[in-house]
Amino acid sequence: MNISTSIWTWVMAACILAIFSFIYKENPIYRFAEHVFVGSTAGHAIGMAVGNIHRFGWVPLTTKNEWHFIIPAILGLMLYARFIKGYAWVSRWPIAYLVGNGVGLSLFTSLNSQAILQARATMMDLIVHDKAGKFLLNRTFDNFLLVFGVLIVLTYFIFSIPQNGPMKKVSQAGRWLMMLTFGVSFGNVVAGRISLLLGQISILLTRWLGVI
Amino acid sequence: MNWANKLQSIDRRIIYTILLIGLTIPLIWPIGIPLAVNDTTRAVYKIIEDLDPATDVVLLSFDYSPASAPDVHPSAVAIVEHLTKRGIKWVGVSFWPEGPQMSEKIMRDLEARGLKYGVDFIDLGFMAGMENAIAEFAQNSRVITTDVRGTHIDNLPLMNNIKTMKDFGFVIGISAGDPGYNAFIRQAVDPMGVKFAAAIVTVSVPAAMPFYASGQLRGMLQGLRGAAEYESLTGVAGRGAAMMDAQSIGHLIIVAFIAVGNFAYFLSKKK
Repeated sequence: MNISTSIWTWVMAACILAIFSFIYKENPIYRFAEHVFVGSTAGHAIGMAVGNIHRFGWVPLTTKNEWHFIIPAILGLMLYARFIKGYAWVSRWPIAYLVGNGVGLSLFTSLNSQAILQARATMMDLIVHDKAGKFLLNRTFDNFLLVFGVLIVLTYFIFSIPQNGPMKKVSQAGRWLMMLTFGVSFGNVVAGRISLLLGQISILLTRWLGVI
Repeated sequence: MNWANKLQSIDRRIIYTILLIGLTIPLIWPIGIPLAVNDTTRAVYKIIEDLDPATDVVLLSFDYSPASAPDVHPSAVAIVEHLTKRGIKWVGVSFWPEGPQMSEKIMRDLEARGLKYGVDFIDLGFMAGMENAIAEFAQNSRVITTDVRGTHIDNLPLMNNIKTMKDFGFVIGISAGDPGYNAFIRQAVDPMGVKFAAAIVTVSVPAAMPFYASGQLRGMLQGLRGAAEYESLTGVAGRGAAMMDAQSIGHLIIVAFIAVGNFAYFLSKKK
């Protein structure tokens, strides 16, 4: 065991343990650590934002005579007009610009990447052979599963036709497939949270206590 | 209260204590549970193996924060270790404000081992604007004019042949949320044909899988497990492999509790 002598390592360990104390029950130590975390995160974000305005706006504007940077600077300042009584409407212009920009950027690209190209990816050979003509059972099974999986899940969302008879069976199969997918998602959430917990335990064991 | 009901109302503190013990013991005394390597991880490894160290420069986008670092930082380290081992130079960038802190940790370690900033790797730092910034950087990778250490990119040989994101031999997004791998797919992969893979947090894996199946993602490292798999491929032991035993034990404990809870539930219903 090689316990750290650094004051900051001790502060870090104390913060981690204070947050973990919530597992036992809500307490003032946890509340204090939570407030410190929220405050320092907000402070860091403001520091980064000011740094960015300086790096990408102020420096080019004042040292390289790139005067067009005055436009985003003015738009940014206009956002604060919402705090001035009678001039709050001014802040709607930069917001309109931001929303328009975001929609313009993502409208086509989202449709293309997440709908058209994803749909195209399901148009594949159902019976797969390799270059030598040998039948590939695994790939064939995968492709069948992918194509029919997409079709039966889509069937579940057809609300314009009464879901009875064979349609109901297919729709139910789609529901089962979705439930399986949700199960996978849940499993991944658990795995992700365990990874985060492990990260903190590992920090305590290595940097603070020095046992590994 | 009979024992079936008691099993359904175990105090959460008992569960957390068992989980904590189950996670800590394998960290101190590793068991060495075997690990199978996914195709998604193998694909990233293969692409990096096929790169030419003389001509190819890799772009690494550090889009995560300390909050998600335990799940995804080991992947970043494993990829950098592979690039270092092969002598491939890389450029770092971030579209998350905390990203440069993450890359700084890796760069400091490399410098301590004798690698040179500006020769073997550089970091362009954080670019504000989220998905807009990714779109802009994809079309004009010289939009960031100075790196994190204040050097103009005209004085950085690594950026000599880089005009757009397509000029990088391979782009890897290490991402924990938004903007992340999907913004790269929308703004760089599909419109420009950039060769792209991602190292993502475990939570995002089911959502990212269809992009791997469609070929929009060339490869993927799935959270901490992905890092451990990558370490086993490169043969460079890191934090991923060290933590996988503990993660497996943690999963077993959770599965056992779910099974016990369900068993007790059905038993109490039967009665």
